[in-house]
Amino acid sequence: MYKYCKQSVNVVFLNSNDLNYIHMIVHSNNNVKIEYDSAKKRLTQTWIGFIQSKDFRIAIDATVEFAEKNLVQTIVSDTLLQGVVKPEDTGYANSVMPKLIGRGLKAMAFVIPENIFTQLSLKKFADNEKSDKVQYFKSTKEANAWLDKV
Amino acid sequence: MRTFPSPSIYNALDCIMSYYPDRFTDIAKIEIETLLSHCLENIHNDSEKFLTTLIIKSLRNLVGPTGIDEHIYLKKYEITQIELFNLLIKEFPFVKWGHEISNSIMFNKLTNINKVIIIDIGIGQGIQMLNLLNKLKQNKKIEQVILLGIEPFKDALLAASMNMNNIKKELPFDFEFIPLQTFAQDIDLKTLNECIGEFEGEIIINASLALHHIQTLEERIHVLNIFRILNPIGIVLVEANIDHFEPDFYRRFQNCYQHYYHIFQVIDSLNIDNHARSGLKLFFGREIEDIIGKNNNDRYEKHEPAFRWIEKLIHCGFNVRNNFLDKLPDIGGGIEIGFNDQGFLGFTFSTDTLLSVIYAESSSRSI
Repeated sequence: MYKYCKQSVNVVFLNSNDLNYIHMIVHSNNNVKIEYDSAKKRLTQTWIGFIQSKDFRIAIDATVEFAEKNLVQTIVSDTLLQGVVKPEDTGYANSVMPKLIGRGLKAMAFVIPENIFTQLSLKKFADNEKSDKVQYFKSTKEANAWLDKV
Repeated sequence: MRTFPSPSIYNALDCIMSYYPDRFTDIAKIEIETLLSHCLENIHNDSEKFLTTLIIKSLRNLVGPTGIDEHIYLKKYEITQIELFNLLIKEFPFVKWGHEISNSIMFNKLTNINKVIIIDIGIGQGIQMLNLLNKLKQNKKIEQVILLGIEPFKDALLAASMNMNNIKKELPFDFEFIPLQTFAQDIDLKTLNECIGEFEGEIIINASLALHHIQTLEERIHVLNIFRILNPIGIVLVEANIDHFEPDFYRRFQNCYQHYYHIFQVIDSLNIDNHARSGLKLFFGREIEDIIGKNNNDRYEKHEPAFRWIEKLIHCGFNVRNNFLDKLPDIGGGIEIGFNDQGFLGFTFSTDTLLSVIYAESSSRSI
């Protein structure tokens, strides 16, 4: 059974087998989907292709806004298929990290992109975010496995 | 801590270069900007980043502006012309030892000569020739030296004239300097005859890092044919051993990257301060800009591998000599000097022979 709830701007699904589990789509467009797993208190960002600067920042803002209203302990950012990110947008993503950590973020796992330019974008992010709280993996499986242990 | 390996700068640049000529889309421009942003971090400590920045800078003519202007970052590495000149002559091994070796070849060839005309193509300010003239003081047989200095740039030629005038009184033989302001490809026999006049003696020709400025194959052959008609006792060429004559942009980029990657490693090994090191690299940025950023018809840094110069010399009636020096210097810095089976003396760093010294004689004199 699925039940509609009023939560942020998007749809919330209740899994009938586990009443503690809520799967919520926090934000979505052609290039990014942000989902929330209420049981794990985990946000998952799945990026696809090149995202315009404006849409990238809207997605980052949606993440922060959601974390301000809900407990987000871990984030998976799946950038495997993401296109290049402008250097100033990478800086923008760096700039929100203190806010997320301040709101209770314990760990963030990135899935390493295939695109070499996106790797450079992520490298720039990583160089500005040297912390044990942020780590990098080859697959979502590995990323989730690490976050499950945090 | 789980991190990930730094992406290959070369692979990223290679990808960008593959967009030439008509796939520099808006996304490609962001990729260029991203690579540039990566390279500008710690650029002074990383030769590959410096080289990639210079190559991206050279792309500007083809791509147009992106969000980052590297000029502001690179400007701080500029050094004065005097500093640069001194670095090239005194510290940069390919210029310093290229001059030294070609002077040794000419000195040896002039051992039993009384009268000689030295034709120096691209004489610049005449520094190499000053060293040769000083060396020739040891030659007790030589009675008369005429130096014909060919140079397209007036200021350099004026400086050369002053230098030659200053050294004249120190020389134990008759000496005359004839400056000729022209491009090598514009040399013709009539002009040479007018410059030289009647002269009974030998001719020797030197062209250090000069002939690659001649733009077309036809002009190169034309100039070498004129040299051959002069029937010199020898001709010495010093040239970068790389193919920047290549018309295909992508292949030219690959050659350019490989060559300057090693040149920059050599610069990194020099015992000079970081500012001088960066200034020297920036100097080579001008060559890179010509190789990458200009249309083929507007280019002047059109190096060719040694074997192709050798082919041309043979085609024009020269006999190319190998093993032309008994003793080779040990110049250090990871550079090995040795004779190559193809018929030249090579300066090799790592796996790449970066510079060649070619010596040939007129075939009628070699028999």
